[in-house]
Amino acid sequence: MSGTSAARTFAVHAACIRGVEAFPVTVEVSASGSIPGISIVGMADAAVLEARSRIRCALRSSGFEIPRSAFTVSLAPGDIRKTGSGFDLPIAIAVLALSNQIPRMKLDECVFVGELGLDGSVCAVKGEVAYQLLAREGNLKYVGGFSQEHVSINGVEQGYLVCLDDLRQGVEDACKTFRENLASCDSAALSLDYGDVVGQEIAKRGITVAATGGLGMLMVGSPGSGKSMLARRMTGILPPIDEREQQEALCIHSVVGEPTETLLAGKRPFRSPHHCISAAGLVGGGRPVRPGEISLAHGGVLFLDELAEFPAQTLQMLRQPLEDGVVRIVRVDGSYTFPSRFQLIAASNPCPCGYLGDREVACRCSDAAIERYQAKLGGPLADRIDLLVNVTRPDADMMVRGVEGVTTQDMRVQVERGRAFRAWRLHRADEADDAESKSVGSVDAAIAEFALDDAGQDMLLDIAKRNHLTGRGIVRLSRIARTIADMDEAERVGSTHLLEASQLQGRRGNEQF
Amino acid sequence: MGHSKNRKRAHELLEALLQGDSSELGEEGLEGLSTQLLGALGEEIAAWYLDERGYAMIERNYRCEEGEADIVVFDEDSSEVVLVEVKTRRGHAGIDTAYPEEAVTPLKRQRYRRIAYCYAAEHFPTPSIRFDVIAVCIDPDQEARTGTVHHICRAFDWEGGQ
Repeated sequence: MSGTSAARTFAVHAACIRGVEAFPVTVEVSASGSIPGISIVGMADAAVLEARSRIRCALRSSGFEIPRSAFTVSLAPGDIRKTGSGFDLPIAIAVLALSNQIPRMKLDECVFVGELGLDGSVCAVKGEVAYQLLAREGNLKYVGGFSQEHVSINGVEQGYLVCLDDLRQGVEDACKTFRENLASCDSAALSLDYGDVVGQEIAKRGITVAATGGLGMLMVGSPGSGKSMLARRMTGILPPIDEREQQEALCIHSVVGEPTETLLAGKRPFRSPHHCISAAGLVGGGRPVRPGEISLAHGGVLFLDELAEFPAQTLQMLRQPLEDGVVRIVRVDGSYTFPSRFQLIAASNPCPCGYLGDREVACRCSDAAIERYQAKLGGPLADRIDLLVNVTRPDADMMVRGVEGVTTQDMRVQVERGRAFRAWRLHRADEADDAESKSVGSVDAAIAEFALDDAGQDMLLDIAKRNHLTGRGIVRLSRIARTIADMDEAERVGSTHLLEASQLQGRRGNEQF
Repeated sequence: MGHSKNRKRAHELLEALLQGDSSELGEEGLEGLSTQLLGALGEEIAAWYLDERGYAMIERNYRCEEGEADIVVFDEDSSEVVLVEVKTRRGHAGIDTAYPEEAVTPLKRQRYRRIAYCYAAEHFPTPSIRFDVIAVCIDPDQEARTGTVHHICRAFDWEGGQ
């Protein structure tokens, strides 16, 4: 790929981030005998254009000669917007190779991504994981700068440069190898334990069910009842993140520049955005388009505290991602797809003052205010939230004595057992599939999937009548009951499962609370 | 006029340097020269260089409302009028300092284009005009005795940008 026309041009591989993926860019440099300088073409943004000054200083302080010719740098393909400072290194290398100041051997087997310091040092840029995945696709070696947070992806040849000066010996010798990924760094210290949460056994049960079935959950309770504590410990009971999800999550975190230690340790991400979050911050967007909180929560838990305070419009945007597990963002320059399979946990006060239904403190809100507040909760996401659990303030003496209830360890065992049983059940159902073919989509077909026993059928009918359940309400109730039965390792859903499910489904049979 | 005095002095200096006599510069050498005198000396060297290369001198320090072009010569080979901007520096060009020609910023190029319009208007009819930059690094210790001359043909053109 080195220049053919009298060696007046030279090209190296580079890459640029678009969304959460890297795309290949060829940096082509051509020299002409005009007033010295570097001009960059190819839809480069301000950060790329600033590369000119950094490269100049870096070359000078590394002791290289700045060639007395005008360089035209072309970033191909020329019709995609290029962003970021990762082009410093490839442009500098192309200039140096073109002016024969460094050996050209092996340069075309690497993809270079890095920012240059004024002293000629090479710094890492955000999105290393995405670049490595690209390098693996193109069978190239990833060469970047050193960073403490570096995450190595398996099967990618990679190395880092300390400074430009090293390149005189050729790229192969100049490249240092990254150290291994830090193995689970004190993961025990990172996770909080459910044993710390006093007296919320019903809520804990709800969370266990939600974790097993991957169900959405809303906790309603007065301030200080432990809603946030319950949610924060959620990742501890989920099984370790699987490899594919981990890689996707690593890629997203890397592009955004979020820390990745807990992910590397196999923990699922936990995101709790504040309710003043913008729509773009939640689902992704901006310019350049970057993933939002729901994508950062991919494979893990998205916790929305004070659900009623979130703007309804922002919450509406969660519907499509919740359904599809991906979010598609369309802009004039194309569409972006970010993975966003997360578990939704929300918490809210029951009324503006927070004490409605409290055993001791009186609620000071007017009826109208309470109605308005609850309408907010019921509205936008009601059909995506399966469980509704009331969380009450635990007794003072329980807290002082420090009663320890169910711990994370117990809950994790339950979740694992439930998930394992469900996997087994689904596997068996797959085998016995084709035999019966009911019309998919009808309520009775949906219920048949849940395998209720006779008593369960009667119970379902009974509850549905008493709570005036709609079709959707019935399906949702059955789904919760099925999850509970899985945790019980019961093949058929019985009446006890349904009763508990009805309890967890909350007062709300249909959409309203 | 200070201008012509500088030019006269510069001419003397060039003569002396070409003779290999750097004592004419005075005790401080190049450092003792004023900016104006250094510029004049650079222009003198550039003019001498162009003369050697067979360009026909049309005018030195062509002035118009838009500013001043250092040297205007005629290139007989391509029958073009050449407006030359001379940039002068002391000592070597290279690793530690910027090249003299880099001081020809886009703004200056734009001004040269306007000067060229003026020139074309005053000297109708004019053959095509081109813009050159001559970078002079004065260094009496060098073998060439005067320093290095870097001539950039068509350093920029009528279009903006490069």
